[in-house]
Order: sequence, then C-alpha cells, then structure tokens
Amino acid sequence: MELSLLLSQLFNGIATGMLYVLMAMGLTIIMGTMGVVNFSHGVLFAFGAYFAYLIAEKAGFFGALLMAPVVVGMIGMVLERGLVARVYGKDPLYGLLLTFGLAMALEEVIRIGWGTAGLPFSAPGFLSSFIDLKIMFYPAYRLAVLGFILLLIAALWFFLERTTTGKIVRAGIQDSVMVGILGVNTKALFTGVFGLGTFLAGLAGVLAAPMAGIMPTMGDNVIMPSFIVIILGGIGSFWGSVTGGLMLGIIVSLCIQFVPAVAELSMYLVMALVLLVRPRGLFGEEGLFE
Amino acid sequence: MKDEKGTKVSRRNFLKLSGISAAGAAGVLGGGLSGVLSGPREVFAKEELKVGILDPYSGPYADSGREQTNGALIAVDEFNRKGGAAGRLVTTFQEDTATNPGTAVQKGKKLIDEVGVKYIVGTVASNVGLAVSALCQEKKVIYMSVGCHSDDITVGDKAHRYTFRPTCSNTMLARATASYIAEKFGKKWYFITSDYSWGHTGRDAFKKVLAAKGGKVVGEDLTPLGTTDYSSYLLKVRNARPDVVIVSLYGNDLVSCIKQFNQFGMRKEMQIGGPLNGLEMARVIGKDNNCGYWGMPWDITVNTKGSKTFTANYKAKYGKLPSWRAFLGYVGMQQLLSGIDRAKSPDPKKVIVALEGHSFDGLKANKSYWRDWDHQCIQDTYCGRAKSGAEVKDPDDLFEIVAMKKGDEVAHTRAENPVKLEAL
Repeated sequence: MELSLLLSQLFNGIATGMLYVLMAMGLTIIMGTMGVVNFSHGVLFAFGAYFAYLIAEKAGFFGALLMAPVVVGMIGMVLERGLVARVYGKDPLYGLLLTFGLAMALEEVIRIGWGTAGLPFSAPGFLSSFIDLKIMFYPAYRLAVLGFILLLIAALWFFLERTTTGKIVRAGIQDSVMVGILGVNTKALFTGVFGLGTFLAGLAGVLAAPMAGIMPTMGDNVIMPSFIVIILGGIGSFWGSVTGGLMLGIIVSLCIQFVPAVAELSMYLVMALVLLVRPRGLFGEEGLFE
Repeated sequence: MKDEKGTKVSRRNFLKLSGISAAGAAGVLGGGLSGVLSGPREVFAKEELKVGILDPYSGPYADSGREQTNGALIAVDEFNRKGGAAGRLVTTFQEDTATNPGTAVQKGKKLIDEVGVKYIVGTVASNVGLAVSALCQEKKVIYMSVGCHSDDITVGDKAHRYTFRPTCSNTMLARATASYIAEKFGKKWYFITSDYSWGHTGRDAFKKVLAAKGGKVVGEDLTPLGTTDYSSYLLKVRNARPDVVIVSLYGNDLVSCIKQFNQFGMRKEMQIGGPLNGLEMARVIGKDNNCGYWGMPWDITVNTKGSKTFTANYKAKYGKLPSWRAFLGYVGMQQLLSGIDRAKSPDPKKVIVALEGHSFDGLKANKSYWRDWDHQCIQDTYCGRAKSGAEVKDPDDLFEIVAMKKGDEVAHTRAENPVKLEAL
C-alpha cells in the first residue's frame, strides 16, 4: 500500500464530500427552521443542473453558475408559499408525504421537458485539465469546486454569524415560535430560508453536472447521502453539516480502497452507529431525537 | 397513469394506421374522424394480434428502453401496412419495467392475465429479462428478450423454451471485442463491473478471453447499479497501472465512468473498453470524452441494404438515427411477427416451431439464424471504436466498426452450453 494512494483517496473523499456538505446545508436549515423534511431537495438539485444546461447555451458556464441556482431558489420560494407552508405545525408526516410526492412530480416534469435521455455537459475548457498535486494528478475542475465550496461555506458562516438577517435565521432554527413572538415576520423568514436552502441544492446541481452528466434521476443518488450527513452532524447545525459531509466522503472513499464490498453500506453503518451512541448527531441540539 | 397513457398512445397509432390503410383502400382520404375511429376498429376487433412491450421508460436505462420500443414499432408498422401477421393487425400494449424485476413481472402478469397478450417483446437489464423469461415460460407466452446480453438468458438452466434472444450474448460480444483489445493494447487488465447478472457475465467472458491469451487481471471492483461518482475507483485503477480497464457498465453508469476517466486524464495512460456501448450513451458522453473499444450488436455504419432501409425508415419516423437498441427492438418484433406469419397461426407453440432453426436477413453481411437448441440468435458480432474530437463529422458519427466476427465463431458451442430447453 503506497502512502500516496492513501492520501489520494483521503483528498478525493474530502473533495467529493464537499458536494454533500452543500446539499446538507440546504436541507438542514430548512429542517431546523420549519421542521420540514424536504424530500424534493434531490430533484431541485437536478433542476439546478438542467437550468444550467439551458442557461449555459446562452451565457456560458459561469452565467449558468450565477443564474441557475437563483432560478431554483425562486422555484423553491414559490413551492414554499403555494404548498409547503400549508403543512407547518402539522404532523411531520404531512411535510414528508408532500415533499416526497413533489419530488416524483418534479422528476416527471424534467422527463417531459428535457426527455428521459441524459444531456452532455462539460466544465469550461480551462478547467478541463488536471493539476499535479505531487501525490497524484487531480482534475482542475474538481479542485475549483472544492475551493469554491470552501469560499461559500465561509460566506454562509459570515452571513449567519455577522449579519442581522443571519442572526434571525439562526434564531429561527433555535425557536421559530419565539422569533415570531418577538415581532419578526416569520412568514417572510420561512420563505426566505426555503429559498436559500433550495438555492444551495440548485448550486450543488450545477457544480455536479460536469462531473457525472445530467440525467432525470441524478437527484436520487445524492438525497440519501445528504440525509445521512445531517443525521451524522446534527439537524440544524452548520458545522455539523460540514463535518458530516467530509466524514461521509472520506469513509466512502477509504472503503472503496480497502473494503469495496461494504462501500455502499458503509454510510448507513456509520449512521446507525451515530444514532445508537449519540442520537442528536455530533453537533446537534438535544431534543429532536432524544 | 403512465401505463394507461402508453396503451392509449399505441392504440391511437394502431387506429391511425388502420384508418390510413382503410382510407387508402377506399380511395377516400377525407373519411372523417368517426370513420377512422369506429369503422376499422370494429372490423378488426376480434382479429387483432395483441403484443405486449415491456421496456424501461424510467430509471437508469430509460433511454435504451425507449429506443427498443421505437424500433419494435417500426416492425409493427411494416406488418400492419401489408395487412398484419397471419392476417391479423397488430396492436401493442406498452408497460414500463422501471428497470426493476419485481415491477416487470407485475406488469407482465397484467399484460398476460388482463390484456390477454400471447407474446412479450422487450427489456434491457438482464436481471429483469431473466425474471420475465421465467414468468413467460410458466404462462406459455413467447418472450423476445430484445436487449438482454447476460449469458444466462440462453445459457444453462435459466434458458427457456418460450424465450428467444435476438441480440448477442456477452460471450459473443467479449470474444469479438476482447481478443481485438488484447492483441492491440496489452494484456494487463483492470475490471470495473456493474454488480448484477449482466455485469458479472460480461466480466467473466472478458476474463476467459484474457486467460486464453495468457493475460493478467491486475485488479477488479464491483460497483452498485446507479453509481454516479467513480473517482475513488479510478484512483485505484490508475495506481494498478493496467494496459486496459474493462468497464462492464451500461447506461448512465457508463456515461459517468467514461466522463470521469477523461477528467482524471487517464485516457493518455491506458485504453478503455467493455462489452457494450452505443449511440444513446455516446451522445451524452459527448464527442470530446468519447473513447475506447466496445462490443456492439449493430451500428448505423453496417453497410447492408437491410440496414440502410431500416435506418431510413427510423429517421423518417423519429427524426434521428437509430441506436443498436432500436435495431434490436426492430429485429425482435420483426422476427416474432414473421414467425406468426409463417406459422399461419397465433398459437405460441406453432410460432416457436416456426422460429426454431429459421434463417433470415438480420440486416447484417451474413445471414442470422435462430439456433433451435438454445434459442440464441446467431449473427455477426462487432467491435466498435468510439470516435472523438475532430474525427466526429456529425452528432451521430460516433462509432467505427474495427472488427467483425461471424456468429458461429463466437457463440457458445453445444459443449460449452449445458442447456436443455423444456418440451413444448
């Protein structure tokens, strides 16, 4: 076993885990604030990729990177106002069923709009090379995505910690009823948070599209790992999502290297372990699961 | 809901078609909607030949499923234009397998028990095909296993009397492709394999050829169906420094893997290949990433009269060129209907007898034929090279056939296949 290969797998695990971080952040702020388990998060991820495909024809990759997530965020806000808002305060099962049905319906919308076949999509030319990391050659695009998500995490952290709106969002995650009593317009807050969450899903979709291609079912493969990430990290926790995403990426990568037979299973095993030992997740608040 | 819609669409096509032929016969094109809808339908209602089509329209192989169905409908058009098969017009009933054996069996039962079909044509994934094959044997319904390449369909104890395979087996594809790759690019191979029946038999067939040539397996991994990120697997492959990585993946899985193979810059370090690739995937992989050497049951570049006619008809109906999935759908349906025609009866038993041993123009250079003892369609089998970059002249110009083997040279011999089909 060469050390360079081990380091390569570790690094690759971190890079692939970053996408899960992005997905999980969106999920976790929605779940933390409104108590809705958003199963349509995966299909909104796919929407990000499909809108990127549309926009990139006119405005190039970076135009798509800027605009597609905004479009997805706006769709998210419309969905929230029109549908999701109706299940607030009800049995969590309602939200679960609603968003699950929404996910299936929206996936059909993709098939009707863009067809069942996948679509070709590539990273911009100057990012399609690879960079010598000494331990291995690594695709420039994946490195760029890694750096971009790191910046985004910093920006999100700044927003949540240092701005007034961000503080309201954080307070909403803690106790949205109290935030309402204190005079904050929770209706607007909820719509905004849902929009931000789905914006992040759309952004993850745009970033993932050049790696694996665009297909109607692409959301299915990321939604389960994303849920596992927030269970690992703790619902509503910012740093929990980051830690959980990186853990997941690294665990899967290392399992593929050393015990490929359990690579698929490994993430579920870790989740089961965390639920047994610390049901609230690594950084979670007490109360949701214990 | 989708199923009902699918049935309606096919019925509408049937009506349109019979309407057109009726109107043509009468010499009156403006017969009016009521004539089109009621007239021919009542005349043929008792005589219609019901054929079930089971293909995946959702899930990872949705695109392949759609192509197979499209191809099959070309054959249905051909027969209905000349009055049907054995004097009966053909109506198709389409159902979505969702690439799931359980769903496929449930839909198959619906077609057989409720609609009353005596023939089923279709499926892409071999695990689905094997389940449908077992169901059809039990129900005494003919099954054209259009797009399943796992050896098991016609080899060993899972092969059945009521099942026919219009396409090549994995062993045929591997023998046509693997020897070419081994001779040209070296004999140290790494295997990435989709973890189910088709992937396994594809890998095994390649391994056998490799062993016979004195080559070496330097590593292998199984990946779950539906995997989208192959980066960790590719890091392992690169570290093992093989001459060739043999990828037994299909559909979206193959697309993701080849894209990432390019992104990691591995194309300069080794060759890639495998049992199957085709137009519907190469279009998504994109011309810049397209690469490798692959088994192919057919390609638009096969230069025969039959192929050209089929390609032109397909283009006229669907506005794009057919992949080999469409070719398989066409041959499967065409062979079923011509079998019914020759048997002069819709009775599946008589149709089976008419098919067994029958030799026909399978649109290829040499004649194709149905082997009577295992129901494998013996036919020319190809190794294709995926074209890329500047050599791609138009969006469908993505493959070039570099080697061809006659069916009898590559198929299992009787000694290699212990099959014993059931009595009729």
